Amino acid sequence: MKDAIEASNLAKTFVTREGGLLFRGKKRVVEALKGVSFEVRRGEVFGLLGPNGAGKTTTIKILSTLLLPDAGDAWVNGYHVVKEASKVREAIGVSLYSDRGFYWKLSGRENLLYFARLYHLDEKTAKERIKYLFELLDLKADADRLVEEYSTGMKSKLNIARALLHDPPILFLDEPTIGLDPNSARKVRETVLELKKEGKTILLTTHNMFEADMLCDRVAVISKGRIVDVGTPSELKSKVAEHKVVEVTLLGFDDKVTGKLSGVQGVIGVAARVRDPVAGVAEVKVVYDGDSSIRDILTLLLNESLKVLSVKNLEPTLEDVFVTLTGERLEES
Amino acid sequence: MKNLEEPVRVVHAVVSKEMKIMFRYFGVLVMIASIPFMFGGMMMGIGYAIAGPSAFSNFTANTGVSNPLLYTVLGGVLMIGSMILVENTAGIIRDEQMMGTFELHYLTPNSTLMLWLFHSLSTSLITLVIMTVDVTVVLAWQGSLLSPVEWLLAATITVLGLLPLAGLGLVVAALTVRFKEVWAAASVVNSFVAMLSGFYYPLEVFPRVVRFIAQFLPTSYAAQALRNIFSGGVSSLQLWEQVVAMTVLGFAYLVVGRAFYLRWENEAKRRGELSKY
Repeated sequence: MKDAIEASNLAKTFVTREGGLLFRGKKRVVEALKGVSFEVRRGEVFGLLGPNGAGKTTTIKILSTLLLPDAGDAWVNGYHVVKEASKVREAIGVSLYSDRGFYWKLSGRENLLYFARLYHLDEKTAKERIKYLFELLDLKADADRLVEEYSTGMKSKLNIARALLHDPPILFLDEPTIGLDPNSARKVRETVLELKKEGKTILLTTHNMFEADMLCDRVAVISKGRIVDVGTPSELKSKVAEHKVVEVTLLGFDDKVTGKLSGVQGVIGVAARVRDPVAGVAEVKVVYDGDSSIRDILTLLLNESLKVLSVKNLEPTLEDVFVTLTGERLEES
Repeated sequence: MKNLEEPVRVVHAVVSKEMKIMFRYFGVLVMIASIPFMFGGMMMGIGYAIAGPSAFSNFTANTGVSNPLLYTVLGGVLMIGSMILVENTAGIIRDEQMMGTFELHYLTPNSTLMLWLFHSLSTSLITLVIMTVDVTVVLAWQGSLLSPVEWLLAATITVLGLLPLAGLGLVVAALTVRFKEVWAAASVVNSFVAMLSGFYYPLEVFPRVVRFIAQFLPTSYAAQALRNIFSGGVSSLQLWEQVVAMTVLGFAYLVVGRAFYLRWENEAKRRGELSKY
């Protein structure tokens, strides 16, 4: 198998019940994945781009053998994720959380040493590897501090170091920069690029379009459990290069507005982000074609008795690809 | 695990991690070590308050034990050891889930069941440290010390008596993790283990039905065997019988614990509950 990762028609539904032992509450069914398929080539950085609840973490958990799919198949490093789970685990490093996953009363070095021993590394190799990883992630000075004293950024970097302990060829990073300050996020992104140079295959999830654009060789846009498009960032952006984007800030917004805007001739995608739910202030992004469309869009908004607070023309970005493909905004989450 | 070095590394990892964490909460360790003295003192005080100066001679007449302090301290060590072990094993899924470390163990090339049992082994080893300190204090105060052979025997009995409770802990863990009532369930189990093991009194004072149930608790054999070792009143045949009984029970407890845990684990992987907390 030439691809590092192959997912074919993965489906997963979660059924939960609210309530306790005696009084079982309402059944809630969430279709997290609805036939997700994609391939990740060896040595590439592949991004799963989508908002919270799109199915990114579920996909990563199935690929890392932590969750069994209801349907579909997946192979990592040539091994089936259900039938050859132990072989898959040997080939992958996984970072699932940015600020959890450690024993707080142990130092960063002690935490890594614990997991290195669980990966059967001998003491000498483990200590050398940990030293290298602390240098790679700029954590050398804090290696012997207790994790309870670490900042979120330091914990996130330590998580990546833990995932790299056994030097796996394939790395899964779930939202590696979420909640980080700009400096820590920059360091994490630099590390991802460094690891790519080392030849590692990296699958990362993000809802940050800048990150996807900067780091990923290819990006899969995922929304509501479905992959809606796959391509290089420039291929995806070229799909909206001919389009125009306008962002309108409205007072008195309600959900029906987006539906009405979608019906305007020339409108390709509409997504709204509510800024102030009490006052009804929202930013509505509209991707459209043709010069006459903007007039129709603004006329519709004025006819709806909405107050238009501002209108901005924007350059098309990867987020506009997302709006066009899904009608959602990445930053909504 | 391909060779012997790999499981040794894993045991080393778990035991050294658990010891480090435990010794960083040194106050808790001191508190645990002092509990057997507290309960022992209470039992002796209550006995003295009820029976007066003849309490100790009555105790010797009923139990054949001439050293009530050592008797109660040994019982206390086993009781606190069994409580910690059941509670730690029962709570391990939830504790590790809350820290975000639970799933990470599934990514390592090890049996997770063995990993949790190694955690229970660490708790048993910590109990050994407490037993050594507490018994040494009592014996030194009374002018004697443990011989290495006595210590080795006592250590073996303690581990054999306590480790099977990990099976009980795994059953509680598997049954209760979804309802987030682990500690309450573990405390109920601990209450019965403490009451039925004869930690502070000979089981012979109870009705036949209680003695019958106590036969199925490895801790009741451990309590008896430890006291016999320290009082020097045990034949090697008796000791051998107690060791066999503990081993058989230990095996049965662990088999049941394994079955419950693996069933939960399989369901959790389907429902996405490995990381829910």
